[in-house]
Amino acid sequence: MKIRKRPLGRLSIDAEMKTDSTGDVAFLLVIFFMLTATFAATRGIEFGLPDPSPIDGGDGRESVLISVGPDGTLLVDCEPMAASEIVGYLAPRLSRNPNKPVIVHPHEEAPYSSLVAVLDELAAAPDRGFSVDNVQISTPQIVAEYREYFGRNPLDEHCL
Amino acid sequence: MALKTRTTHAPACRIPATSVADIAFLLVVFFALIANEPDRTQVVLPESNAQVAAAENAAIVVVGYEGEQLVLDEPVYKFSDGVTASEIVDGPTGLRGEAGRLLETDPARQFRLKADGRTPCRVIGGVLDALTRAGGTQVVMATTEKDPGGAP
Repeated sequence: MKIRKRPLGRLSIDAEMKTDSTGDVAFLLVIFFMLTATFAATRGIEFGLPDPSPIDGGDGRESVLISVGPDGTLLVDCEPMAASEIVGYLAPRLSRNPNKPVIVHPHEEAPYSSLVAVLDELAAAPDRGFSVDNVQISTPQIVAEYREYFGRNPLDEHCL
Repeated sequence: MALKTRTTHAPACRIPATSVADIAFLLVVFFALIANEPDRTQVVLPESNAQVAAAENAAIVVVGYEGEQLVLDEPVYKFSDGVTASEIVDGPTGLRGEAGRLLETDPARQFRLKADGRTPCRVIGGVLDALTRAGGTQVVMATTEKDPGGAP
């Protein structure tokens, strides 16, 4: 009877590392980071804050007044207007004098998104060949200063 | 008679998973990097076409809402110097104090306003006043990019 001998030194050792579980762990980490991740909101509309010095006159007659109603409706120099029409309205008025003040006067209850919509339209002015260099937002502090200076708020009476 | 039994061989159907792990690790690195945002408040940002990038070191002012009940007049105010995690502050007064301290060392520091689009303008105006009085000069109002195919 022949006895088959196992050849010595020919044992094959499986040298491959098992990486299946690595993928599992990595996917668990992916799920964790996906659930906890917050995408950074680093882009938006640039706005220059006004000088905190007291107002020095002017009652809004030489400026363009954009009023934002509580429901987001717009009045531009007392005329109802859609946001998309603002730039067309401003083009002839500001092309010669980009420093002409454009005062955005939002109602206290107007949503912030409607204010952003107006500023977004103003930011699009350079695409139409002119720029709006002097945008002001009537904040509560500015309105209080107007009231102190004029004894009334001229922005509220602009369209009367 | 001895029956011959067929020896069963396990079919070699192993799927190589090495590349799966590689891809998953790339995703882990990606999410770990974007998780570096100092403020994690979930805010419904307004939309805009204009997308100006804020400075990398811009301080962050958050006006948001937490909890299920939405009281528009009572937002949560948070402040971050742009590096450390944002912390709740006591309304516009607290914002003014934090912003003032920051501007003492860096007067040109930009602010990134991360505010909920539903917030009344009265509240936003208060925030802008606080930053103005603290000596701030530049604000980037954080928005999400308007969908070009969406409603106008």
